[in-house]
Amino acid sequence: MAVDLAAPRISGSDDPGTARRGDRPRSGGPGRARRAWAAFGGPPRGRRVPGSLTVFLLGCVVGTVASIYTVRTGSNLDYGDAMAHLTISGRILDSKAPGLQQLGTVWLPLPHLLLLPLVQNLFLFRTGVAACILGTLCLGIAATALFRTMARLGFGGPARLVGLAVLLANPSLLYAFTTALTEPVLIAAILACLAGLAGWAFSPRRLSGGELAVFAGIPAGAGVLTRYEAWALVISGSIFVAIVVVRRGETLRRALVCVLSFAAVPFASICWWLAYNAAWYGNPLEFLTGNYSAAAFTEVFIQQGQLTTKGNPGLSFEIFGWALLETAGLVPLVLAGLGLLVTTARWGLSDRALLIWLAGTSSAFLLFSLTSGQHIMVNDVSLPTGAYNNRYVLSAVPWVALLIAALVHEARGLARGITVWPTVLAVAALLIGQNLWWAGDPGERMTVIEEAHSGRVAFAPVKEMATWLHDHYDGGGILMDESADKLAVAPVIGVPIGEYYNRATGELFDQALAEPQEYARWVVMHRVQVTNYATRSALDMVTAELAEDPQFATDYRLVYAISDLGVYRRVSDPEDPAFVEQPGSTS
Amino acid sequence: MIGTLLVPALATAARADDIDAAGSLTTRVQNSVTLNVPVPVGATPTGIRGRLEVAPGVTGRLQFAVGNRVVRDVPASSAPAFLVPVRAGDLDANNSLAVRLTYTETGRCPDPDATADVVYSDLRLRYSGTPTPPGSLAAFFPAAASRIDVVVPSSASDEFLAAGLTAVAALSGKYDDTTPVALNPAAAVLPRTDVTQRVVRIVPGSGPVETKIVNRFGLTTLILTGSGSELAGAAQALGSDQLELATGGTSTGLTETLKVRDATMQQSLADLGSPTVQLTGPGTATQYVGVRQDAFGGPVDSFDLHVTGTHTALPEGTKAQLNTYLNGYLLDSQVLSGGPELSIDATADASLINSDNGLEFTLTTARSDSCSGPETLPIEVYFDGRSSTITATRGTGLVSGFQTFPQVLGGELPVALRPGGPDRVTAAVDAAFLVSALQRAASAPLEVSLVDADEFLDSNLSGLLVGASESDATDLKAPLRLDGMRLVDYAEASFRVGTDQPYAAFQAISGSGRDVLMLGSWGPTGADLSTARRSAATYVATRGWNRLTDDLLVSAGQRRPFTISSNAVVPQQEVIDERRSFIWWLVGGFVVLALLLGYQVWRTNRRDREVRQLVDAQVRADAPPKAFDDDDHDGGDPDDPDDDRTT
Repeated sequence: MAVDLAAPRISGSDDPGTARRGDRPRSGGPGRARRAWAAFGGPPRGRRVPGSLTVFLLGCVVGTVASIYTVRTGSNLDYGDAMAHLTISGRILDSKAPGLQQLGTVWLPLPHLLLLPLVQNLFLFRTGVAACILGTLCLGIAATALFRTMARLGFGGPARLVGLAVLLANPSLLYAFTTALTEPVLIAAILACLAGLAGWAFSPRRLSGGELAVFAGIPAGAGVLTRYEAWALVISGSIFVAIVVVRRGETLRRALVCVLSFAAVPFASICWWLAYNAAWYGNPLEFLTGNYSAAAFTEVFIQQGQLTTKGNPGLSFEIFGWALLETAGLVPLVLAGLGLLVTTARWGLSDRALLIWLAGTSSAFLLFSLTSGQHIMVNDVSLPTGAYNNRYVLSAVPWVALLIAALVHEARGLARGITVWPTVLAVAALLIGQNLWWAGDPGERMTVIEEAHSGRVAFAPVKEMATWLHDHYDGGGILMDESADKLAVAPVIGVPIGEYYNRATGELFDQALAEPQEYARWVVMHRVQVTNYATRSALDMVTAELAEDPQFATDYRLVYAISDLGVYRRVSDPEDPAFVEQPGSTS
Repeated sequence: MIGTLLVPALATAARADDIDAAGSLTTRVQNSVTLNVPVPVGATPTGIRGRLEVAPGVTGRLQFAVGNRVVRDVPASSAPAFLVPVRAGDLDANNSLAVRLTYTETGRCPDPDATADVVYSDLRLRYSGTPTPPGSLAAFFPAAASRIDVVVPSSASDEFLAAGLTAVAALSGKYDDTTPVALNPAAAVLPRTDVTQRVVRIVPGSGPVETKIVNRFGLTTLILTGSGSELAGAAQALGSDQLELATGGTSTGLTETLKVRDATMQQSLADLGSPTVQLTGPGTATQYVGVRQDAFGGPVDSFDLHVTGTHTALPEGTKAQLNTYLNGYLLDSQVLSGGPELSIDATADASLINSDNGLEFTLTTARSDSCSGPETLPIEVYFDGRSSTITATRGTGLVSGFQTFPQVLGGELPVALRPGGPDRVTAAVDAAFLVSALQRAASAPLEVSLVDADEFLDSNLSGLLVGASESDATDLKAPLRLDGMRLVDYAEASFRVGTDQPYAAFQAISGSGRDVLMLGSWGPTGADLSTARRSAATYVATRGWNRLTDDLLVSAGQRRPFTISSNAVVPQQEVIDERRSFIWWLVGGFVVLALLLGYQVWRTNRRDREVRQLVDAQVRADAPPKAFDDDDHDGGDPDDPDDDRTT
């Protein structure tokens, strides 16, 4: 006979299951609160985990509040990539060359597809509220999935509360969830996948492969079509599934069936992505090797000697660690470290421990990507220093949350005298202290926010130009290379994307470049060619074609200039409405 | 003989070429500035000539007075060569000319908000006669000198180099940055300027340090003869105010030991060089007080400003506003009213504080009702420089790179020279340019000492290392190792240092609890590196420390040296490789986890064994006397969610 000390258990007085039967609290007042708390910390009942809806709503409320703040300050559009994601979503249907090919290969498609219905509304597109809605729903899903995972792990109410607090009180994460960045969908997908795996692994009854595919496989598939970290999660999740089945004493065949059930949807998603690449670009690995691939992007940094993490696991770990420190926070990281030590000492490699380790898959993948030169991350300890791409570590926050929740859950078992609620209060106080420290100088102390601030400064003149164009655009089409340096500001311009002749319109763009006066009343371009570019694709093709063209100088007039950008309006077409020039341009 | 003499320096803060700052008029009503122009002994001044620039639209009159004598009164208009006639009788007791420039608005209704910049600059003193060579140590260093050279033997030992560097520091502190102070080997041909040029020659001798003034090759030269550490003491004394007491032609035993710096965290405006601050209106009047972090004995995080003073009564209908700025940032603003007392209390945090800070008080006065004529009553504000204080809080602040110096030195400047042999003197000459620049950025004399380069590296001293080698850069973990390097290859970086092009680098290195300035060079074997090093050092001295930005100065080829952030250098392989070791933290973490895992397995097994023994004992106790075989039903409950079966 063996006793598994690492098996899920509901702890002590916070265990609603320990309440005496028939001891029903009276309705209203403290009784209702006690019941709500009992439900919050109660054990799962089959597929039902009491409190899930409440947590979902809580996540949505927190996301809404964060969204209101960032939309009011305009910071939800500080990241250039956030504006680019909105634009890609918009141009799938609203473009001179609409279609799925507008998804491109730079990024995986799901976030754009999810944004697709929302960005059809020009207000939601222009303000970025479309992304806020999606992010808020993702936050609700992520919080719920985390809560359900913790419940499946047997954590009591206090531990679940702390885990949720770590997730929902992280300013960097909340900020990202109000933007059109891919983190909201990724984190929601990862956590939903974990919740599905936890539900399958710790269910009192043996769940079918179909259920595994639905509750874990589909979220994993969503993750696979969101970011490449989720591809790694499919591998680690499959291993987890196999281990759980084998440990149950079931056959290898059964293990294989379960693994295939889990991986079927993600595998199909990957196949779809390969097929998409093959269909539109003639190369199934276009996303890996094409001109807009991550490899092409990092190649520039390699040439410049700035991809210093490649082949350097020490530096990679240092940079990753610093990003995590500034994103998750010192206090949560220390607590998570303690949680890791405690769970390892007490749970070993039990299924519960392995599930929590699964949450670290994205971190391991990121570390691997840095070391292998597939990814670049820049922060205060990198060579050279700066602030770039640190938001990728946000996917580690759920892992941190789970570890801290595990620490709280196990706190009472560590030593006599440690009780749960004082532990919760202590952790809460530490988290509040962490947030207060962050609030002291968010632009310096949180690298995700720091990068947003940098983006705000870098995009300031471009956005000013975009706002001017929004106010003055009177139709007739816009010729603009939105892929050029810092010109991905279509949401701020806020006119239908179908008005643009840009790279995404393919041959139309080439034709408009050749004879702009025949196509576009407006031309937006850098007045001098971009020199400070990260990749060659950031060169402004409109500038390259028209800046020195005397015919263009004859047909168009500069009507607005700021920084190195210019807005030109056609003067050669008598059918164009008269343009009333207004003061305000800056040169 | 009629000569023309550049007027380079004044005994006080006011200087001829400082007139652009100290003499600007910013009001359309009467305001004046005074300039003290020192005159060499023996010379008879005949005039001061300079360029007069009057801003467009300024229509008042300019009055020039020397002492109490008005010498010119002219309409305000620009003149490329404007002469103020003076005479010997205008000289004051310090043999200086006190030239006062007054601007008077003549319009009937001046606009108090309008500025009226009048600048009288590029001044040159015209004189007759022949300046008398100084006959004593007290008179050796004129109030204004065009150039000072410190000369050491061509193969000087460290004691002479130390004395030379100390003399350079002392004399750099005595004169401002318009007077070059340089160290030279005896074999060097010294540049010639004018009669105010001085040479300090340090030569070996026995016994106490002796001084003698001679005319050598037409240059007025002070010879310091001595040996050992006493030479440094004598060199230090050259910058002392007490030198005025040495009235003889020769002296023996000249020495000075620097007092321990008063590193109090509270300095009054008087301590900072402004015993009285006076602002006069109507119009806009500004007074500037320089506040160096170094004055507080080290880097600081914040300033608490407390100013007390008085102001004149405000005529009815007159409004006056007193603003206080630090480095252009508004700290405090108040409208003057009521009684004569006024006080300002403001705090500046680290984000506002530079290495060298400008505290500005601006009085703006305007009448609220219609103009009633030019007879507007003056508004005056006085600050008590002794009771007005700035209290600093010690901290690292937010300044970085070169601008952390000299405050991080705490008044002490150890200098280490890496090269030996003849190159050591060359390195000392380079070091002298840097020492001079640092001293001029400091608020008090630096205590310069020469230390062994290896001992310096092994210590935790902050200081200066000149002639650094590649291994020195590695030991100090300099951001730029002295090896092949190139700048980040962005297109806008028009200059690139090739991987095979020699260069010199002057770096500010911060880490391991110390701050080090390091001048070194790198180039292919056989390349001449001394030129690049000298270029970097002279650039620092001529440009001035306060204008150094970032943390790296590079000198290469024929281009002018430039400062850049070390972050803009493509990371060198050596630096990258050093960071590999960080992986051991991860490995260590896994080892800890593995140990914990082993402990968990051991503990679980032990408990299993104990439970098994307990169960077996129970079974034996419950068993009927006759033993029988039973199947092991320990198959677990597949429906038990608590059964993970890990052991």
